[in-house]
Amino acid sequence: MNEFMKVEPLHILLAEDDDGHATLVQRNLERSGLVNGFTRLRDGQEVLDYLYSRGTFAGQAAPAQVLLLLDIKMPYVDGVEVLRQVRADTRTSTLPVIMLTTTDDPREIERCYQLGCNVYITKPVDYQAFIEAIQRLGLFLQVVNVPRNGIHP
Amino acid sequence: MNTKLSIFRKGVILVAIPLVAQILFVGVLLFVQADQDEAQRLALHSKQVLAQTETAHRVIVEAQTSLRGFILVGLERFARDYETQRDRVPLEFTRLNELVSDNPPQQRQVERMSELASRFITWMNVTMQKMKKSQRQEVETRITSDEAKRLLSDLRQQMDEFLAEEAKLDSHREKRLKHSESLSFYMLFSGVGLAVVSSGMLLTIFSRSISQRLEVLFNNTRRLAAGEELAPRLTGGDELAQLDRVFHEMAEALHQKDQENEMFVYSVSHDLRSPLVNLQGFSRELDTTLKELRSQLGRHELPVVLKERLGKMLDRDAAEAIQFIQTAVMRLSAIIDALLRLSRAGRVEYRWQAVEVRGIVQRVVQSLHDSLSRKGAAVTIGDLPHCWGDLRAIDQIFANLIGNAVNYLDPARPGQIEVGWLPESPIPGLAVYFVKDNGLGIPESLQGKVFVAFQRLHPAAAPGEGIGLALVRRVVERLGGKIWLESKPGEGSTFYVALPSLPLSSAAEPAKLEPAANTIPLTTQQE
Repeated sequence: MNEFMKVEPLHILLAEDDDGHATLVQRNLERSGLVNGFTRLRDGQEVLDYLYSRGTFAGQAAPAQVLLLLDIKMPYVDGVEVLRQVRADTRTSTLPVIMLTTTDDPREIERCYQLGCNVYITKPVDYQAFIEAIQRLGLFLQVVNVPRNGIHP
Repeated sequence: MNTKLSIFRKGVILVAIPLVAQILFVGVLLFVQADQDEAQRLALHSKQVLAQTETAHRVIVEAQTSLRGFILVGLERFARDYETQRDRVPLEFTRLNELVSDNPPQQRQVERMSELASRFITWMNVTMQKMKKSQRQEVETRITSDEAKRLLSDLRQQMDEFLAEEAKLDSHREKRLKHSESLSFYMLFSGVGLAVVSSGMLLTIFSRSISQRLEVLFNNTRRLAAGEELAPRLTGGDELAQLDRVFHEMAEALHQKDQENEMFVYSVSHDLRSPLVNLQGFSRELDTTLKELRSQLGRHELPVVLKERLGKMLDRDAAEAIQFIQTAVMRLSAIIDALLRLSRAGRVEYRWQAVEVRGIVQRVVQSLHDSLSRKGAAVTIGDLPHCWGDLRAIDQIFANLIGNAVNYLDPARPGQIEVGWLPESPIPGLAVYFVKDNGLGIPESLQGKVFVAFQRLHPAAAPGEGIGLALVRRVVERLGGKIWLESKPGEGSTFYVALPSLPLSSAAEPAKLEPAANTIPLTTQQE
């Protein structure tokens, strides 16, 4: 465990409308040894409310260091729209954002990178590959030094 | 010709223009003909007048001759001749008078001549009577006097004037006749020339406004059937332009349907993936839990019978169930991936460029090196020309075709695969490549099915979803090409791929020349 992580705990925010996917992601991140704070939200609107302390999260200050794990296909506000709004707002424009989705359409991936996502991960149906992707992500989050201003691509 | 007119009206115009021209021409010709007839008639008339004048003169001279004869010889026959000739004189002058009735000055001249003639006749009559009465002395005096000579020379002079006038008229009329004749000749000549030129012009107009446009239309129906881009719309508002518009609308509707279909396949197969992640994920979770249970079971004291039963339930029943679930999920996932690939083949944007096919084929063969040497098969690559298309799409085509050739070789004989091209292309503008093998071959009854998705002919020979050739056909058609095969079971198959050999003028997108950004980290592209 990185000493730095204890000082600046990185809070993982997972936006995922599928309960099963959310469970699998959380379980495997834990198995990879990641012990960060973890919050799971169901759609893009909840993510925005959480980040900007609005709606159901009014009055609750969001953690200082947040990493966004966004699914693309979500009801109400989808992942791409969350990414766009987060990048447009100066308070959150430097947050690390990882897209985690079943879509492997090159155009969709292209669009997410253009909008400023840091990493794009496809959820493979093959469980082993999925676990590996999540665990690699966990390792990545452990070793990367996350400065106050977030990760720059 | 104005393209707004209907074909019927164009036809009417095409028929009416030459018809009106012909009627006009015939009219002009008739007029010229009448003019020529008139000139001919007048020319003939002058000749008659001249002849008649000569006749009148001759009759007078003959009368005088007979008179002289009678005076000299005294034969009664001369007196009779004289009377006959003398009586003819007024008749001849009356006839001459009638001939010049259309010309008052000449008519007056004839009257003067007639007057002089009658005076001369009177003189001759008197001389004759004196001769009959045998007054020779008086006759002699009359004959020697100048009177008769003067009368005759006056008459002659008047006649010469008359003849000169008539000759002038005659030459004038002759000229007019010649002019009229040459006019009618030129009219005929230029009429024929005009007919040839105007026919040519009408033919050109017909060709432009109907033939050529019909050809465009015909090509469009062919293109529509072949799924190619249509030619630009015909201008105008006639039936042809309307028909062309309908074709364009049809093509547009077809294109839209195709896209909707592809979007549908794409989103359905995509939505199917999401629950599969759960199925696969939680069956693995279950597997992990079972292993945990098994190790727990080993650690605890339990009756042997129960332990055995529980062990069987865990190891056999549950493990088997999970195995089946996972196999089914992987199979379903492979099918969905194949569907996604197929739908993507219809949607990805192409970067049009000249593609070096030989290099692609060499790389494909290299990547198949292992399975080729395992099967002991040989590949020969001919001298392949460049084609016009998308690099990855063309790579996909040859990877699939050569891969198939390797997969479906006949184990009974050493495999031989040939990649070549036909220097004499049967389709203009397309280069025809072929991949030929001596493998298992395809029965004729099934050859139509090989390009249909999820149809597998030799499922045991190689794993797969039966998507390869369907994908290849889709890619080839999007590139503006064609694919077909020749095959005999037990002898092998030849797949022909015709690809554009030159940049397509209309269908291609020549604007997209900048390199496409397609760097996708952390994901593995499936094509």
